[in-house]
Amino acid sequence: MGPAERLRKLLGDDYVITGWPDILPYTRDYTVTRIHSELRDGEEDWFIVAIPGDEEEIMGILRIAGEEGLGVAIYAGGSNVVGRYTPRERVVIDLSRLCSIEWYDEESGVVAVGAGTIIGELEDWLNRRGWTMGMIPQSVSVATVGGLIAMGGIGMYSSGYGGIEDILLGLEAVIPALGHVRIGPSPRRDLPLPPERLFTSSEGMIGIVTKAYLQAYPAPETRVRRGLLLPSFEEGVERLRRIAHHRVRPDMIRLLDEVETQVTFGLEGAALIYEVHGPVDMEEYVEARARALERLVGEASGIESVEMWFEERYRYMAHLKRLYSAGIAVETMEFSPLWSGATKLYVELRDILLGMDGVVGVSAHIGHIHPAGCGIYFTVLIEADKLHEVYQDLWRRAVSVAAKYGGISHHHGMGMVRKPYIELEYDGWVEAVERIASALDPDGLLRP
Amino acid sequence: MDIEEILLQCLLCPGACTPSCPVYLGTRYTPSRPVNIARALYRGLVKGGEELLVASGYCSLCDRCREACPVGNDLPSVIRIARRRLGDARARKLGEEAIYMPSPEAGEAVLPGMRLKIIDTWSMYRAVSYGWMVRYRLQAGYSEDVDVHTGPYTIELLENIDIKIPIGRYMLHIPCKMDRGYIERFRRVFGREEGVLERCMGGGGLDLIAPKLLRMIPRPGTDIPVLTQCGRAAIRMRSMGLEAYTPLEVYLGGTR
Ligand SMILES: Cc1cc2nc3c(=O)[nH]c(=O)nc-3n(C[C@H](O)[C@H](O)[C@H](O)COP(=O)(O)OP(=O)(O)OC[C@H]3O[C@@H](n4cnc5c(N)ncnc54)[C@H](O)[C@@H]3O)c2cc1C
Repeated sequence: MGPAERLRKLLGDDYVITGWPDILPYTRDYTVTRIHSELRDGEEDWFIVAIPGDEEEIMGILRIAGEEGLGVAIYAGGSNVVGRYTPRERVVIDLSRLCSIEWYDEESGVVAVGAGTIIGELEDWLNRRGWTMGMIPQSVSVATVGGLIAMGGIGMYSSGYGGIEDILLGLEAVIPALGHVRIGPSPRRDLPLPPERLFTSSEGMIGIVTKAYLQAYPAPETRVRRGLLLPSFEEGVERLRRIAHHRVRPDMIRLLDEVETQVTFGLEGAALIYEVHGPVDMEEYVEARARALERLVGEASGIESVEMWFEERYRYMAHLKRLYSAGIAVETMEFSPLWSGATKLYVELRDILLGMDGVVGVSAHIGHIHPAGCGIYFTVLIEADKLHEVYQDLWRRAVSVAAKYGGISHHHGMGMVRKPYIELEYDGWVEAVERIASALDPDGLLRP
Repeated sequence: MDIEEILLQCLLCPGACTPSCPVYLGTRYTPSRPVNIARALYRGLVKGGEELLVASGYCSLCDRCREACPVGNDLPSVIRIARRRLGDARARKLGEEAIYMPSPEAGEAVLPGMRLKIIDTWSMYRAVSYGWMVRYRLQAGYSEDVDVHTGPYTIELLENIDIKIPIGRYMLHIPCKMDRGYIERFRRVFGREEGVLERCMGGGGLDLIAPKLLRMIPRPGTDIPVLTQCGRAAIRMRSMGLEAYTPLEVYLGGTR
């Protein structure tokens, strides 16, 4: 009996996929080179898809994969952008069926949820009860709870609600060497190697998250959105630093460089927009926070319709299509410079990228602020014909510059794209990662 | 309509419409996500891999993905085209067999004064179905008309006679576009629902075109009766041991 037959016996015929057309969705994630390969008839890999319904079945799949000498790839929302999902010659585990909302402790604001649950679905469920996670990545309608944990995700309201690491209170997982583990929710934990930290950004290397305990908050009833136009991106960085240091933070903030300001608002300068949340009947609290912010960043002015940005945010596929039709591919790259290096990184990297053959445009924005620095996000337009040719060089150069000014990643993860450069940041630590992963997954089933 | 434009737009998006799809929500079968149907159809219609057009069968044509799409991309229309193109022998055979008749078992009955009409194009379906459509026919197999609803005539009827039937606690099942406009009417007649089930239970012809998906729909977790506008969904839920009724069944005094 071959691996597919064994998996069928374990899961039932309906939950194993080997043929067309059903295998197609699993041929790629959302990494730009893979999208373009699909559009241009890229070659197809061989793999088997297994769709488990619980931890027991996941353990069964891992056992069969191990015995058959096959690796395992994990497919959740499929929205990964750094080439982490690599199905070739593997058993693909699709986590879509792990989508239950198991319980909700409203007194604590804690929800227990299956790892395959789509973030937007969970958020919607909470909203209907007057709650929110405040975790809204742009991929909210596909990215899953487990995907966000594994890839260390963050949402647009990070400055108020934090990243996935700030709302993850405990989890359950299947670990190849150990089987099913359960670590219940705790508001803070002071025990060795807490799994919620170990699994955050683990990229599926140490186990498969099957359930998460997440923090929710009462949904804000009052929101104020403001925006102002600054003379330059550099000036904007300085103001962001000020609010990060003074801890007068809005719930959402975004600074667009001159290019993105022009594209979004048709204005000259750098747009800074923010949103402040408050509970019901607390307009004065929200107003006071917005006023304090104005004292630090400047009076709201120059941008008539802040809403425009919020509306355009989810219409990216229309822009991508226009660009694709014009022969242009779009890559995004995010880094974590310290405040002292943020402007330098922006200027230096923009100029380097613009000087590269095949690159036709570069823009950037800052969407996440931290006390020591920020998350800066570059959008790079590349001639589609040259994409595969320049791709590695593009990343190599970008990461080398980023490493000079702070962290080489922010929220998309390492994947295959950053893997060759991880030593730039992890001096002597790569070996530790390898050893921890080997201890928990001795056969290397989960490591591409 | 520029099929390639529409499909390309879908291919460049990770699937903003995913949580709106009642078939995906019901089955959690990744290939049934609208964006994945679009990927198969891109190959099938643009690149010429006819066999991939069968993926169009995963759609119940409820139109929710178009409404949820940030740019209103009209994928359902492309899916209808794919179904028509498919038109192979197997599909035609299926079509001939599947002339849809009111099913007393599903609580569908031809009541005095009710108009019957066979609808055989999508536009006709759209134009006339809201309000009084009773049945329509599956045309050539995987054609646009495979979407089989029992029709909202039942609730329309209840409204016409203007009565209230308080039935206590119930879950409302509204997976399809056709049904969604009628939530208020349900409430007026039956009182406020306990909750809403939005997943497709196979009513939109899924059992005819994608039996595999039907097998994947898990039992909805409800221990109170379900009121559904969809007769096929009612049959299916009953086969799962749930208490499920169409409004007409309630009006006529139940099936059992
Ligand atoms: C248009 C677009 C916008 C985006 N915006 C944001 C954003 O605002 N913020 C952000 O943080 N990211 C963003 N991303 C990136 C992406 O959505 C995130 O990386 C997300 O966390 C991936 O989740 P997923 O469920 O899609 O995982 P997948 O892509 O399906 O999985 C990727 C990998 O994660 C690991 N993995 C997934 N689930 C599990 C699990 N349960 N257990 C163990 N390992 C697992 C596996 O290694 C898997 O191969 C965006 C992507 C796109 C396409």
